[in-house]
Amino acid sequence: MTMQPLPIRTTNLCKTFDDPKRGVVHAVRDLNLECKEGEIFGLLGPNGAGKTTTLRMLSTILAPTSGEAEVGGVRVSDDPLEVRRRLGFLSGTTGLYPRLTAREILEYFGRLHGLDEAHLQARVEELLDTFTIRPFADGRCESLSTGQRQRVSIARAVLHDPPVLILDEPTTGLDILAASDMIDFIQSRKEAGTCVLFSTHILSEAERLCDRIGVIDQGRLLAVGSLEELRVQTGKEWLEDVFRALVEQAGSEAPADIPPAN
Amino acid sequence: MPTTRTLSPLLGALEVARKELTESLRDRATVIYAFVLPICMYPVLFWAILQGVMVVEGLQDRTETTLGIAAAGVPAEKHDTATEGLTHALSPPSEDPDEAAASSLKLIWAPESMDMEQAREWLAEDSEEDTEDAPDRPDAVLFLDPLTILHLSTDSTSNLASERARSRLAAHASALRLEAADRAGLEAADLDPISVSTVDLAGRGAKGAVVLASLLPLLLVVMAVMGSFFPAVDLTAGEKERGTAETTLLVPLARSSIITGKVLAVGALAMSATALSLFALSLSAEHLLSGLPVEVDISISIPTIAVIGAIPLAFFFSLFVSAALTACASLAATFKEGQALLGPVQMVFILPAMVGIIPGIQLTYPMALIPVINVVLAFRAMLMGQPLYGQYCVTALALAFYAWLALRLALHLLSRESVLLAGKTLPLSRLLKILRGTASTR
Amino acid sequence: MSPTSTSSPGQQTWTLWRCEMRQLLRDRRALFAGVLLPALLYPLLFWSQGKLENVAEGIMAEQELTLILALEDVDADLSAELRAGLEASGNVTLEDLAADRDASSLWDTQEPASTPGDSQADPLTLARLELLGESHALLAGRRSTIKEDRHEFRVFFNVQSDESRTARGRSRDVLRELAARTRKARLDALPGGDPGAHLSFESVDVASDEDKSGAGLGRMLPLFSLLMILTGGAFAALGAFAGEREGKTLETLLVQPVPARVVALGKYGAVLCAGLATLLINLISLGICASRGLVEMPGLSEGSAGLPPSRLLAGLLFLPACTLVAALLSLFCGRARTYREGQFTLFPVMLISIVPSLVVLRPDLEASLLLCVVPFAGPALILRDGLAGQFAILPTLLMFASHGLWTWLVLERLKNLLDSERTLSSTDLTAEAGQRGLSAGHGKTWAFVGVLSLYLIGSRLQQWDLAWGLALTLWGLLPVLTALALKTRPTPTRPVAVKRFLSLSLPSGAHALGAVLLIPALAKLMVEVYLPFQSRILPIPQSVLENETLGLALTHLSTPTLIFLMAISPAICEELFFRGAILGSLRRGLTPMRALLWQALFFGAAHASLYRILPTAGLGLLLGALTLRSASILPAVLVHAGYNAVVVLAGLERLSTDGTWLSTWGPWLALPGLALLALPARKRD
Repeated sequence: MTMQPLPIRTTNLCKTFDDPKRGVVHAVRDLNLECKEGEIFGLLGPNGAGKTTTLRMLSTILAPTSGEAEVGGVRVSDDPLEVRRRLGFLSGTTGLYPRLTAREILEYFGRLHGLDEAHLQARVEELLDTFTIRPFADGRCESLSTGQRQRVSIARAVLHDPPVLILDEPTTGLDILAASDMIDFIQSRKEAGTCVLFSTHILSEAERLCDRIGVIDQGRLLAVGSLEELRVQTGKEWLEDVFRALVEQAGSEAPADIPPAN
Repeated sequence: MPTTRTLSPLLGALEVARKELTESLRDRATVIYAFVLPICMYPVLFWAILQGVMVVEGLQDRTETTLGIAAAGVPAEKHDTATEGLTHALSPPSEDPDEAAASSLKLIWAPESMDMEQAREWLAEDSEEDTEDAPDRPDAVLFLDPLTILHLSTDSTSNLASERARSRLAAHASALRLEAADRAGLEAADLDPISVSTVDLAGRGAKGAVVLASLLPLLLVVMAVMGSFFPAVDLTAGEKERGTAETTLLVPLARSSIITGKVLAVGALAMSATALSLFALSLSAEHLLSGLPVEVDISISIPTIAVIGAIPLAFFFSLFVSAALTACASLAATFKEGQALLGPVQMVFILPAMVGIIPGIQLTYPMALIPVINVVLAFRAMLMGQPLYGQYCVTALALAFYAWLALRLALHLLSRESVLLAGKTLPLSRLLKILRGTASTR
Repeated sequence: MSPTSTSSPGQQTWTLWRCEMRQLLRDRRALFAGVLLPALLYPLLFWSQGKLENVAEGIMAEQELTLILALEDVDADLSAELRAGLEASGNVTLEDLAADRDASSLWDTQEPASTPGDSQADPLTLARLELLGESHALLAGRRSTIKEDRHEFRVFFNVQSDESRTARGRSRDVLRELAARTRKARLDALPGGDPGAHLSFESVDVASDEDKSGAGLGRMLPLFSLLMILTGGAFAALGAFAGEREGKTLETLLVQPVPARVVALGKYGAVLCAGLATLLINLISLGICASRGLVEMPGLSEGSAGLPPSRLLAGLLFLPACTLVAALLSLFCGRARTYREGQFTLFPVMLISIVPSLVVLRPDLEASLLLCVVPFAGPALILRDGLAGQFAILPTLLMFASHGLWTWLVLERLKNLLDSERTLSSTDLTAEAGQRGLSAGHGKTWAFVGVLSLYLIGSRLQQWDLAWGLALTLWGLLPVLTALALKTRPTPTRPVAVKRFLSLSLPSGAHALGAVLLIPALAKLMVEVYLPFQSRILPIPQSVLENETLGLALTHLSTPTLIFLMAISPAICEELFFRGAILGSLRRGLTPMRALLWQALFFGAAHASLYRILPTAGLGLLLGALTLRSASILPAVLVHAGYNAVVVLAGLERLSTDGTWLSTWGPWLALPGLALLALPARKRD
């Protein structure tokens, strides 16, 4: 029996940047990650921990410095186009074309994905209903509210029904209602069997949604496991404390951040 | 509570200007446009022109041209006698192979006797038809009796050939005349008994100053407008876009101080761009003139009075333009829209400047009151060394007044909440309405 | 997973293009400012320009001019003729110089002191100015002191006054006409008549009116087209690239299963279409203006011969230039992160495209095979000639091929740009280049500063005095530049000592010797192989050849001085700057090959002549390679000095190059030289 390839898997993934002010920056170091089908995996860490870089490498926007990232068994460096076909990507800062309507945007991205015309129309209609976009589907996006825009973005990300969904801080900049809509959406994907990898620095979100949590700081994955496992590992009750304990533990293990030899 | 003191309006304005300038100067694009480009553009441009001219001359020297000779009723065996002297004149033998290769003009005889009409056809035959069968289509044709040079003004090689034939015939004619004069015991000067020369009494530098007078005034206006264009948009619409407009307004300073500070910053950038490009152009203009293959006896020296006099003019004018552009740009919500808004507005400044460079229009007192035109005329008059001190003063005062007026306009606009915090760009037509509104509410 | 058929790149490009176009068309404000406004502005502009010209002409014609005549002993007939001519020339008041004024200063032959600026203090000029008084020009005439029947005229005027210049122009015209008439009479009076009479010729232009108006149109159409493509394309390019990034939609686009090539092509297509549409609309507006008589436009106005529609098809010949300029716009805007940044990139594109196309203004220039591959210059010339009915198949094909290649190269670069990570890098464009980028930037900046100051200051010094100016440039300007470049070099984490930075350490003996052995071969290669080759491709104009040879102006110097000035000084000072400071910075920021190429390019550009750029850049390449190879600039200094000495002395014929031992066998020394250079360096950098 052949094993179904994992939706997401990284092995020793590394990314370094050169920065004129700070020298060489190791944004991600030796990251090993595996997400299973139908799982919600939360990447938890403060700003600048390497969350966005990791997600961008997985979605082929950035090329890894070393190591490998695979989506559905396809390496990002081998066939980036195939990887992109398999995943939906959404970040909290994603914009929409201001002068196009929601319907046009959906159609546009559907065509770029190669959906054939008849199927595309049906799918767009379906999404308009699913995310209740229909009332404002034919107005220009510049006149939409933040919540409405968010719904269009979500619809855009799942348009081609991807088996893997990568969300980069999806609730950033949303109001309470829009954020809870987003949380509902993520939950609904789990039921559909989609693998969801999302990053956040909001602990309550992670606590509520994730099957498993990966704690990341300074480019290193400090711990992986369900909330329960992490609690046991650190002996703390609240996720805030769990997080702090993990960071402190890592700090004591690798005391000085050794400057890279160059 | 720590002791704070309220800044005086002027100090406050200067403080704002300083901050805006520091910010602008850390922006690469602004630095390039306000400083690097004005200095580098003219030298580089002039260098390219000079080199281009040289290459073109060089290529032309080496272009081989053919001149067809056609005559009516001259049989082939009499060709030599019919053109006695002409052939020699048209292609003088030369020992130096290099010189012979330069500006060559090959002579070919028409295959048969032809009249003028046929000669025309010989030259103007469509080039597509005579690809290989008739390889000796000439570039230009010399028709004998009456002596006529036929050429095609639309064909570059034909122009070259006829130019060469022309100058050689003329040179030959003058050589013949000198010989004849010599035989008759006359000197060369006797053939040309009236000599004419012109003497300029304005001194050596003046000619160059006149050349500059046709360039620099227009440049002053254009650079002041271009120089304040981007900073004006950046400090108003850009600030709205970046979302820092509100923070600025929370500062415990009168709004007029803040806005004056912004206008001052825009004006400073505009002034530097103006000054630098005027400077670079005058420096490199002489360079260009001295490098051109043609002999130009021009030395460029700008009258001291023009240099000193231009300072207040440029100062008030830049301030005027900056304030006006800042006012208009404040209607826009984003950089992009600010720019689309200012496109037409800048023409309002540049078009009148074109009027100012018409020769013959003088800086009179009424003229000195018309904005833009007055600065062009005054600067031109200064470069030409005209002592119109009264008019200069009026011009400077008028510009100062207009600058003040434009500043008032900017203050009016920017202190309106509907403008300052507008979420979207207001059309230019709203300008008048807003101003009227201000007047009525007061 | 829904059934997604992989759509072909063609379909994807089409989708992208359509989306871009739709967005463009909905941006009404930009559409108005970028496309329609120019079309509406012409009528106004042309109309006002015509009006202004009329006004200016009116003013000039109505000017009342006063002319003072000082014609004491001029032949009475001549004088009468002159007066009549002047009075007929326009609104002129003639006055005679008062008899009691001393007119001797007018004929003083002494040249006024040639110090610019204080010429007013010159007594001769002051006396003349006093005679001129309030009038606009003074026309003085007298019989020649040598012969009774010759006359001499001088027109005194003041260049700074408009009226005075007009007065000068009018009197000069009248005098010249008079002179020509007298000359004709004299020639006819020669025994046997005018010997040159049979050589007087008429000039007839046999070009058809159609061709002429075509050529006229061709002179302005290239510039007009480029400007229109630039205005229309710019707003599309800004929206499609900078706007996309600013609107934070680029990230989304990049995670779609669409190759970067398709993204680049789709967007480029929109830019091109927007540009072409703008061009078309404006051409129509221009055509209407011309046919209404608002503007004189050859080929379009009623007055001039109309062009047959088939001739207008020649406009298609300019398409390659349009595609190229749209590609350049896309590339430049593609680098910008915000709309604002994109805006600043437009000006360079404008310069790059407009300046070369100015060649059409020279009617005597043809689209040679060399010129037709030059971006923008080639299509412009071919369009002009095409409109004039001249069509050459080979240059046209070459132009299409070469411009296709240029466009492809630019688009390839654009594709890489979209593909690369910098498109999404959060901070600065140069951020990921880091320390290396800083160092490379420093090297390029200072090289540019060096080239510019050599051009502006150095050439000015040499104009003042060639020998001293050269010495001052080399020993004054270059060391200062070197020091400044050193002082401002970026400090890396581990600082590099000055000696190491400038590669001042001693090379191994083998390398130094090997370098010296290359000199004869290098000189022979340049003088006997390269220069004759270049003079065939890029001939130097005869006029320049005659008076521009640098060496000729220095012939009065003794050989040792010459060697010091032309060989040793440049070797030391130029090497310190280019191979020391500039290469030092560049090689710490770029790959060795790129560093070499850049510094060679700057070294070539520093010589400020198109004719010397290739040979000097080639030399720079070799000298740079020697420096990198031996980790020292000394071999480069030796080669530079030796090479310069040989070339200069040979140029002045103080060193025979024919048949001597050195010129025959010297070049073979290069073989052992290269072998020595192949030996490992004593100490690697």
